[in-house]
Amino acid sequence: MPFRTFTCQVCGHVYDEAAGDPAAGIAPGTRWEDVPESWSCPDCGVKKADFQMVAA
Amino acid sequence: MKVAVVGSGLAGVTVAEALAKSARHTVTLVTTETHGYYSRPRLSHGFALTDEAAAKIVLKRFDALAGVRVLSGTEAVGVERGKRRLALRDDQSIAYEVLILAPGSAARIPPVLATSRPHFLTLNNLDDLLTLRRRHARSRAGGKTPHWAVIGGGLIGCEFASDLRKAGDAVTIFHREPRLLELQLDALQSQALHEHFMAQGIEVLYRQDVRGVFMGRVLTADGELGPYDGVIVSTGFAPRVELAQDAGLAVGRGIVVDEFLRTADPAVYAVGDAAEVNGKLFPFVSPIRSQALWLAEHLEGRAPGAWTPPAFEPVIKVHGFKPPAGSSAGPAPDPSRSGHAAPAAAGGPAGR
Repeated sequence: MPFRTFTCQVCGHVYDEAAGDPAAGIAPGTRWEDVPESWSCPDCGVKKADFQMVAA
Repeated sequence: MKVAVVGSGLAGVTVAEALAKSARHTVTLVTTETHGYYSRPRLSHGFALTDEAAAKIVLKRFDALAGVRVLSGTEAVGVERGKRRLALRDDQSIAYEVLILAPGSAARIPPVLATSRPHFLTLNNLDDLLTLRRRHARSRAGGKTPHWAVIGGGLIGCEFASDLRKAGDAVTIFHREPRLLELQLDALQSQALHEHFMAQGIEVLYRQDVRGVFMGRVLTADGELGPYDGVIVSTGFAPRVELAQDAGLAVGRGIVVDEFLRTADPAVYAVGDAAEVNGKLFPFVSPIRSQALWLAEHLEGRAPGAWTPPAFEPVIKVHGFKPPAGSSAGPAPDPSRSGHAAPAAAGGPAGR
C-alpha cells in the first residue's frame, strides 16, 4: 500500500506516513493506524482520538 | 440561548460548533469570508502547494458547520448593546443574548507604508494567497521566474519566504533588525536560519529601514532596490478591535477581556487573535482553540473556573529548518510579542 497523508481538520496540519513525526518519536513510515492514541497534532495539539484526520 | 458569533476563523468556528451541539442554543455566525473555514497559519505554506493541494486549504464549507447558521459575505457593523442587537450591513440586525467577538486580525501595516498600500501585497487571508498564486502562475506562463521582496523577517516573513523559494521563485527579505526572528530565536539560532536561507538561495538584507514601496521598487533609507515582481509586507498583525471600540468597550492592542474572556458587558465575550486576556494576546492555534472550547463549556455552565492558557510552544515552519537547541528553546516566548500572524514587528514601528 502506498503511503498516505492525513489532514488535521482543526489546523490543516498534514501527517505524512512516509515522513512520520520524528520529533514525537513516530518513525518515518509509521502507518496512521499505528500512530498511538497519545499522539497529538504537532501544530494545534488536538488528540488523535478527539479529532479525525482525513485522507488527503 | 441566542448566540451571535462574529468571525469564522479557528476561534469563531470552534466556539460556534461547540455551542451548536446543545439544542438549547441557536447559533448565528457572521463573517465577511466567503470561501469557508480554513486555518490561517497554513497560508504561509500555501504558495508552493500544487493547485490540487491548494484547493484543499478550505477545510470545511460554511454549510458543513453542524447546526450553525452562517451569514457569509456579511459584515457586522455595530453592536447595540442596550438592545442586544448586532447590526449588519444594509440595515439588517440580529438579536443576541450572548455575543462572541472573534474577528481575528488584519495585517499590521507600518504607518510609513500606508501611502504605498496599492503597491504591495500582504498575506492575511485566503484571497491574498490566491492573488499571489495567480501572479506566480502568470509570470511562469510568460517564461519568467518571479522575484519577490518580503518586507519583514519575522515568523510569517520567514515562513513565507521559504515557501516562495520552495516554489522555485527568487526571494529577497528586507529585515529591520540585524538578525532574523529576533523575538523567537537566540543569536546562534538566527545565524543557523541565516545560513539555511543562504543555502536555499534566499537573499536576506538586514538593518533595512523601508520607507516606501512604489511600482515594485522598495525604497529604503539607503536608496532604492528592485523592481521586484511583487512586494509582500509581513510586519505583524493588528487585532480587529473596531467593532468593540465603536460599541464603547475597552480596547488595548486587542479587545480587553478578563480571565472569563468577558468584556465589561456581561453579554459580550471575545476570543482568538483579537482577545486581550489580562493584558496578553494569544495568537496561536493551541491557546485559541482552548479559549473557544473553554468558552462553550463556560456558557453551558460546565467550566469550573477561569480560562487558563495551555502550555504550548510555537513551531517555526521554515522548510527544512530546525533551530539548534539554544537558550531560547524551552518555554514559549511571550505570545503577545510574536505569533502565527505576528512576525517580529509586533510592537515595533515602521519599516520591517
